[in-house]
Amino acid sequence: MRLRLWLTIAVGVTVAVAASRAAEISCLKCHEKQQAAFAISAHVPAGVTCVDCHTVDPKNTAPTANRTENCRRPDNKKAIAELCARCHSDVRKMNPYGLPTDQLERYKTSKHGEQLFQQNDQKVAVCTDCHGVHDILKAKSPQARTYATNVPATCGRCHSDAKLMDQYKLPSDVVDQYKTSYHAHLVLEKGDLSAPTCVTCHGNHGAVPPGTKEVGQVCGKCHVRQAELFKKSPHFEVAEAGAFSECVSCHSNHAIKKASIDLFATACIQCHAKDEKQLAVRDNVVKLLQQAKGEYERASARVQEATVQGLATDDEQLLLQEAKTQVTQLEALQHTLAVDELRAPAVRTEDVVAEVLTGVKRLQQVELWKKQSLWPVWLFLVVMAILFWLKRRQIERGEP
Amino acid sequence: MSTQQPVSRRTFLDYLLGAGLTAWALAFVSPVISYVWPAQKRGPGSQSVSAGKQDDFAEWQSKIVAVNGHPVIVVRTPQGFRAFSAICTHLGCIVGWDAGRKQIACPCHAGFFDLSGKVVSGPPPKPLPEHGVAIVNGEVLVKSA
Repeated sequence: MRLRLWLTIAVGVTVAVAASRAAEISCLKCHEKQQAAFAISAHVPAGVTCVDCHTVDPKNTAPTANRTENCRRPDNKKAIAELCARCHSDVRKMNPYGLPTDQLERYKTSKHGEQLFQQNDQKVAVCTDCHGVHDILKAKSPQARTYATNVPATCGRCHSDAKLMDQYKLPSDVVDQYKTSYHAHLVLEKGDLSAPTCVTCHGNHGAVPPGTKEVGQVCGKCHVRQAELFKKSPHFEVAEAGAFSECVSCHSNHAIKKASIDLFATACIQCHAKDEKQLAVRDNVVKLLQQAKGEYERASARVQEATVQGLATDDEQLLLQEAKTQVTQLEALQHTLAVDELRAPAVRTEDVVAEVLTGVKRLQQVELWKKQSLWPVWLFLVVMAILFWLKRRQIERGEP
Repeated sequence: MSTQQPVSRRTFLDYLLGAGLTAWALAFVSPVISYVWPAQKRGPGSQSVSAGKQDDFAEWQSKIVAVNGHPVIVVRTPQGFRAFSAICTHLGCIVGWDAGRKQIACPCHAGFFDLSGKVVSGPPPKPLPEHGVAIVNGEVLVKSA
């Protein structure tokens, strides 16, 4: 009895596997192009086959019987999202891969999802627009459309399409702007995958363009210290009142450049063109920053010069690191616009730089002294040579 | 009244030569003597730097020491000593120890690292490189790499 049960199970499994395999083989007869793309997909090692996505009834995998009726291609974007969710919202199926199962729910909260599920807008991005269709790769794969360095191009497929964006009254230059930013420089040129791409700020599945208030919160996820310090500045209240956009007002959004002192010359006058009292605060902040940076650069050049001379500048380099820390802290602290708070690191920078310069001077003096102390040695050698010469002459002349 | 023989030119020359050769010989011999002389003190060697005595560190106390010109933060945990490069991997500020959070903190942009050097939060893109620590005769020695 038990043997019969085992035999039945074995035959059943064999038939199911064979049917699935047969379905694959029969699909390949006509769909070679799709098969080539599917071969590199992350779904292949997971055992996903054509029939898993292309059957109306996934339990009916019979390849020969009513194949055409059972074979389908999702005919609208909502169906695509729901088709992917058939597995990707299933905790049991996703658990072995450590994948989240809330993508569809998050997608529905996004502008893309809202447009699709509430307005039945078939032009918005759905799973396959960003992840691909047959050639879906893991996000960690450098070839994946969702890999950090490829994200701007993936989003740009729609968001750089002026014709498409005009329909939503959205700008179509955001990706081009992003490419000029310091963030893009880090991601695309330096390969720093921790630097932000589109999805870092806008989210991926729950992509909601941040409103004015959220931008600061989004930036503050990485720029924690600056966000904290900004709350101490007089600008914070203005931002809370909605008259000032926390980070964007000075740094812009997509085309964010590496912040430098030059930003004070262009950003402040956008609001304070005639406000001499507040521009005086700016001038004081700029003065402190310029002094500290100048001092640090001067000390850095002297240490480099001494290192090139072959002097042991370990201690001075350590102090230089301390000066750099103070200058960098100062750059963050300027978000408070509190001149008095800026003075402490500025003074500390001056002190450390003075210590560095004294150390370098001492090293160079020791080096000079060492060189000068070679003179007596040379003198000794010359005197000895003369003495030997005199002695030789004495011996040759046979003097007593 | 003593009668002193005048020093002849030859003798004077011999004195000078003798003194010069003696000085020369001493200059050669002194490094040899100092080499073979028994060592009076034992140092950690150039590959390690002392961070002080083990007993000078309380639990969860930290100290920054210079190793080959680079700051290294040494922390005493209940499991032992850990040492990491004290240069933040974000913009190169010198990190410090946040006793309240029991984490390594960067004062510039609020980057935090745990006690394996990994980034906990903030902008640092990479973990802090770790330095080996050895305790020799009660002294905390931080290895240069």
